[in-house]
Amino acid sequence: MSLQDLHSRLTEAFERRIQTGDHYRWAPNHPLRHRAFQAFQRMGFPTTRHENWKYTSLAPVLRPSYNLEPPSPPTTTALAEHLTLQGKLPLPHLWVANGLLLTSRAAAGFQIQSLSLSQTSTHSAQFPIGQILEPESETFVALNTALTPDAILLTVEDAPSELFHIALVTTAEMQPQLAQPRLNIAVQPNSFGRVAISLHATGSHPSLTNAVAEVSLDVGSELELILWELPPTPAFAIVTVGVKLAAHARLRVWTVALGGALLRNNLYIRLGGPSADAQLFGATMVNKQQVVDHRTLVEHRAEGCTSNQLYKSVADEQGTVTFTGRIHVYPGAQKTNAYQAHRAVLLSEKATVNARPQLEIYADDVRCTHGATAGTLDEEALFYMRSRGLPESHARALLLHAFVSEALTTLPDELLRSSASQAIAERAHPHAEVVQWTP
Amino acid sequence: MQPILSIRNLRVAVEGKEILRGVDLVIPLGEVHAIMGPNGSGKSTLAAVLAGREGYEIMEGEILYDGRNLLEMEPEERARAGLFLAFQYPVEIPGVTMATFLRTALNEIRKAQGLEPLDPIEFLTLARDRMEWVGIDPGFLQRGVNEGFSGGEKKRNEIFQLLLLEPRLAILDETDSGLDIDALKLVASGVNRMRSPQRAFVVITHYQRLLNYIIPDVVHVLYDGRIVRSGGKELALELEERGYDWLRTEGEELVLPTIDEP
Repeated sequence: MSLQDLHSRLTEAFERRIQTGDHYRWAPNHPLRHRAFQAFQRMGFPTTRHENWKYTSLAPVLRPSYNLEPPSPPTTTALAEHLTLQGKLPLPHLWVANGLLLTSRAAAGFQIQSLSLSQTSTHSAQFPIGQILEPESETFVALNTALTPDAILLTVEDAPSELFHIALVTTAEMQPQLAQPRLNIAVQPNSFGRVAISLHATGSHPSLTNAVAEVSLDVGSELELILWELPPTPAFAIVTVGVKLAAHARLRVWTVALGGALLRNNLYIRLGGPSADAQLFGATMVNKQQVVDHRTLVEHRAEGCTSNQLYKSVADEQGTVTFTGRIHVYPGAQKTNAYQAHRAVLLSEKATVNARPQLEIYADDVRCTHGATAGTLDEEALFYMRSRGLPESHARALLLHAFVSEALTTLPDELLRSSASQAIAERAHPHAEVVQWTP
Repeated sequence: MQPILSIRNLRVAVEGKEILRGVDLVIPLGEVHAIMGPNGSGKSTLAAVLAGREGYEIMEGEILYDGRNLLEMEPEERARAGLFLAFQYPVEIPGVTMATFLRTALNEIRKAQGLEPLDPIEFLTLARDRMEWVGIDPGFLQRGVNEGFSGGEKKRNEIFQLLLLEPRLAILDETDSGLDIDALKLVASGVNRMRSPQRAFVVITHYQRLLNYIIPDVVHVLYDGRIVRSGGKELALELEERGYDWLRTEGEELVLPTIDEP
C-alpha cells in the first residue's frame, strides 16, 4: 500500500468516525480531535530527511495495509498467556486491546477510568488529554490524539506497594492491525507508584502500535515506570511518553527493548519544578534486521533539577540501535546536574549503532556531561573465561548479559529484574542457562 | 612416565618479532619447575602460548600436552584437559559474579572428566573451603569477577581458582609480583597443599623470593627466548646473587640448552 493510500484511508476513517461515532467513544467532535487531525495532515509521516527520523526509515512500518479500526475484542482467556508480565502474579492491571479497555483490576491506591465510559466533561479545563503532549509536537502524537478510540486514566494516590501492570496488546490474527492506545497516568502529590507498561502483539500479521502516554508527577511524588518491550517479530511500535514533573518529584524509567521488528521510544521529560529528578535507563538488544530507536528529551526548566540517562545496547547481525538524547537547560535553570551515556557493543560488521547526544544549555551554573561509546566485547575477558573452561559462546553470553544488565541494576522489583535478566540471557545465548547466580 | 608437558624447539613471534627462539622444555607430573629470566626474555609469551592466547605466531616447534597437540586445542579445551594459567594481570569482569563464573567453569571441567555437575550447595561448600586456604572472604563470591579487587586480592583469587579447579598442570605467571610477604606465604602454602604426584607446576618468576616458599624441583633460566640453563633450586639463589647479566657472556659460549634430567 502506498503512503498516499494510507493517508486517504486515515482521512476517511477520521471523517467516518465524526459522522457515526463508531469505535470513537469519547468526544467524537472534540476540538482537540480536529486540531490533532489537522496537525497530522500538516506534518504527514516523516521520512529520513526529517531530523528526528534520520536513522530510522518508516517505510517498512507504513507498508502493510492496516486495519484502522479495533476489531472485535479478543477474549481475556485467549490473551492471558500473552499478557502476563512476570509469571502468574495477580497484579493490579489494565489490559488494553487495540486501544480499548478490555479488563482491569484496581487496587488500593490505584484508580482506573476510561474516558469513553465516564461522564467527565471533555470540555472542562481539567480535560486530561493533550496537556503534556500537544498534538502539534509530533505526527504520531497527532494521529493518536485524533484517532484513539479511548483514553485510559490511571491515578496513583498514597503509596500502593504493588506494581501496576498495563498491557497494551494489538491483535493481528486476520489482517495487519493499527492500534493507538492512549494512557494518562497521574501521580498525586507526595504519592509513590510503580507502573509497568508492556507491549504485546498477537497473530502472524504485522501490527503497528502507536501508543501515547501522558504522565504527570505532582509535587513531591515519585514514579517508577517500566517499559517492557518484548513483542514478537512482526510487531512495530512507536511509544511516546511525555512526563511532567512538579517540584521535588522523582521519576525513574527503565526501558527494556528486546523484541519486535521496529521499536521507537520517545521519552519527553519536563522537569518543571525545582529540585525534580529524572533517571532514564535503557537495556536494548537487537539482531536479525531489528531496529530499536530511542529518543530522549530532558528539559530542565527549573532550578536545582537533576537528570541521568544510562542506555546500554547490543547490536548483532544486521540490527540497528539508535540513541538520540537531548538535554535542554532553559534560562534560569541554575544548579542543573545532567548526565547522559549510551554504551554499545557491536557483534557483527553489519550491525549499526547511531548515538547522538544533543545539548542545549542556556544557563550558566550547570553541570552537564554526556558520553557515547561503541565497541566490541572485551577480548581479554573472553580469553580469561575461556581459559577457565567456559565455552566461547557461553562466555560471550555472560559478558553480554553483564553488559546490558548494568542498565537494570537499579530496577527495584526483584521479579522484574530477574525476568529481564532471563530475557536478556535468552537473547544473548538461546541454548544455555546463563542466568547470573548470586549465593 | 610420559611427561605432562613437552615443548620442542618452540619458536614464536609477536608482530613479526621473534620472542621465543627455540624453547625445549619437559615437565613430568609430580614436579615443580621454575622458569626465571629477566624482563623481555619471553617468560610471559611462553605462558600465553601455553594457555592459547591469540596474537602469537608459531613459527616452528611443537607442544605436547599429555600426548596431545596442545597448539590445536582451543583455550577452553586446554582448561578442560586440566591446564591452568594463573594470569599475571587478572581481568576484571564487572557484572559476572564470581559464583556464576566459577561454578560454570568447574562444571564444564567436571563434565569433561565425566563427573556430575556440582549443585549450588556442593559448590559453595567447596569454594568456601578453598577460599579459606588463601584467605579470601567468601563474600567475594557475590562480587563481579576481580571487580574492584586489590592487586594482591586478584593474585590470591587466581590461586583460589587453581585450588578449586584442581588442574593437572598449573602455570603461575609472575604470581608473586605485587604481593606482600603475608600474601606470598598464603599463595605458596595454597600451592604446596596442591602438590601431588598427579600434578605439575610451572612457576614463572622474575625473582627468587617466591621460590623460598614454593621449593622447585628444577629451575630453568629463560634468556633471550631460549632456556639457557637448567639446574636445581640452588640455581635460583645463584641468579638472585649474581643477577642475569653473567649469563650473557657465559650463555653465548655454552652449548645450549642443557637440561638436567631430574
